[in-house]
Amino acid sequence: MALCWSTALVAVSLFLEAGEAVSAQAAVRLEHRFGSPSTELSQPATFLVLGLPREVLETLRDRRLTDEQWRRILRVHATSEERPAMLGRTVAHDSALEFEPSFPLRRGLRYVAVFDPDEVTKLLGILADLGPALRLELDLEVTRGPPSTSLVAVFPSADELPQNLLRFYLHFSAPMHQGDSYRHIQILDAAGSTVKDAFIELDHELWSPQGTRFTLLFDPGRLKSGLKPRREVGPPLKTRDDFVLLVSAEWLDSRGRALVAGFRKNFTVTPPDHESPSPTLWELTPPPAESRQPLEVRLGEPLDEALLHHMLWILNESGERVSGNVEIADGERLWRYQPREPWEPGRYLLQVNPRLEDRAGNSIAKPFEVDLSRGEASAPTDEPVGLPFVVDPP
Amino acid sequence: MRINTRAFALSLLLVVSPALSAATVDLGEGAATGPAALQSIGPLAFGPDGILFAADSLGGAIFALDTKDTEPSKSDGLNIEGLDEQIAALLGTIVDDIQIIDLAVNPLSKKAYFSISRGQGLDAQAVLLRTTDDGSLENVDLDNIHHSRAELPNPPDPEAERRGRSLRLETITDLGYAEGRLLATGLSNEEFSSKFRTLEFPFGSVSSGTSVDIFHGAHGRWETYAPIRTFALYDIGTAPHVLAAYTCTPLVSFPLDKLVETEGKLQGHTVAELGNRNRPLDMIIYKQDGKDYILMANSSRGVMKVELQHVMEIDGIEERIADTAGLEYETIAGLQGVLQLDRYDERRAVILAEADGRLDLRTIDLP
Repeated sequence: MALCWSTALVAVSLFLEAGEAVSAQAAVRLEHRFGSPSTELSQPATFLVLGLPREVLETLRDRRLTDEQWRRILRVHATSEERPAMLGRTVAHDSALEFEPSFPLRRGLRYVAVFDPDEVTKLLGILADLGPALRLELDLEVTRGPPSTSLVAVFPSADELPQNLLRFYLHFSAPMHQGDSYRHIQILDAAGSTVKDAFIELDHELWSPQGTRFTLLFDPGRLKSGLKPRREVGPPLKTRDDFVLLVSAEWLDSRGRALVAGFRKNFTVTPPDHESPSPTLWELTPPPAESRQPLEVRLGEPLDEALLHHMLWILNESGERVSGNVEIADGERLWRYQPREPWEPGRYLLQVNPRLEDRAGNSIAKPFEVDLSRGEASAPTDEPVGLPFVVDPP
Repeated sequence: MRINTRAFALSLLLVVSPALSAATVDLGEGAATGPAALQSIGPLAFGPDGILFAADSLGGAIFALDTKDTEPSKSDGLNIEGLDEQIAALLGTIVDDIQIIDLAVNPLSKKAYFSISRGQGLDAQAVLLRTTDDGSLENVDLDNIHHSRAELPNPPDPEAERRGRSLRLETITDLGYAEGRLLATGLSNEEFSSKFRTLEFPFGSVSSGTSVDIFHGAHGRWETYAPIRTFALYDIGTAPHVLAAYTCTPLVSFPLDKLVETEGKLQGHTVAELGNRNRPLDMIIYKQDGKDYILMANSSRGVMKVELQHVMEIDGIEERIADTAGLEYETIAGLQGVLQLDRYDERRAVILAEADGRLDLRTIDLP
């Protein structure tokens, strides 16, 4: 160890004695390097101290400093030095000291990097002059283009909705900012007043994995019979009245841009729906053999758009699933299935998951609420309901 | 030099045993040391031996993390003013950019662990921090940790899953551990279900678990299902019970054994109804002078203390229609803005509370 330090001293003093115009102090500098991927929100970066004597770097590496010790030597703060330094890892390379933050830097913020050479000399117990403390300010600008994301669809799509409507699905054209959503959504009554506390505001918002679909739940406590919120404030919607679902353009997308436009859906409220969907009443129109025309299923009432996409499927005579695409039409009253391959003549089975719900949360297996006084004890099951159909030979 | 065989053998034992004890925590099948690839991080719960369970809703899985944090901390009581600001600074950003999702106190070390989302939506990064002996915070490195992972079964949508386009997501709302089982409640972004899952721990090679729909009665007349927001475990006598709080306000109790044995659906006893602005956020159960109490943080940001003493005697609240909550409770004065709570020791709890526009971590006496 002692040998290392004296070598460092000798190296530094030799350097100075050579009488070069550039002293050890001027050679030490603090810089940043950008990494990738760079996005509209974040920019990975590392911070480097260059120009330190090789021996100093080697000694630092050999000493295996703690995070706390490294932080005294080289650290980066977000926005101001008054705040604690950010987490990261410092490595002593052959020719530079490098601090790698644990996270990418956030655009729109200032970062302050500080190198304190006195801490190096103090820690290593050497007398080298490594120059003054260095400070680097890095302002990461936000570059934001014009709005380009829209709310493209709201389901249920009909203009008439049941008084005990359970949820809306909001579909966006691109991933959205999450965590601040409820303040951008309102229900207005016919007089234009906001219906307070219509929706349940969850800490963890209900987004699709892609971040493009938002599930908005009406407060079930206000919908369910016999619960306190229902008794105290009543349901959010009133039968035969008109309401508006209003979505503000201020709702930001994941890149921090506002929406292209706000969204407004007018609707009239029909009486509450307490009936479970009944697949035995559905009308199936089998397609012609050797065609790829879709099987059409008339559902008799609008059902839940999200669940319609995957809670119905078709098995052929061998019990294999028929591959193809689902299409939902006519205000979620029509389910169509277009096969990938032309239909072969034969018997098929349309299977339905009994958890398929209507817009008020009544599923095939059980209504949203079971009225025991009417002797309606339910026995929910996961057994699919089967509706056979035949594709006639041509 | 002559080797004393016995001494040699003993010294071998001394050399070998630390290595053995370092890896004795059994996390089940597929346990490895390396990056724990959490796509998101949500509710936390401690198991035995410093094992921390962390829910990853986006990844549809629960992780068991070997924190190796089994020695009691040197500090007594946890108090950090401006916890959100400290966390934001450590993560190199501002307070608006982070969300503290859950808080769990390690019963062995008494250190508090926090699950954090840095950034949000698709950019969100999962972070796990914990308190240190000197009252600050440190990162728990998820890139190199002994861990195992259990995938949660989700009703299949094979076409969309195959194309990576399924829109379904189940948010895990709470986690608990009791008697060799991990408990998890979930809320779907599609159907209005109320799944209560149990998973055996250590995790097996196939995620064997039950999933039960819990429903509650309302005035003996309505049978209704709903998602569970938060739950806590407690004993009635020696039988473990679950106390579950729904998103639509009732508080429901049922025996843990029934949860494990039942297939399909299970009725919970409604023991309290909390009213419109009293949605439960978090709760703990503790004993005081031989009685059980719930301490609950609710959406109006108050804290309620509810006596559980009569739970066994009450046959649901069906008969008491005109009543208020079904059980006596008091609102604790002086505790405002509380978002999270956890047990600290026999006499104290740790809370995360909003005050003057910041979040503080405080240790309080159980009221």
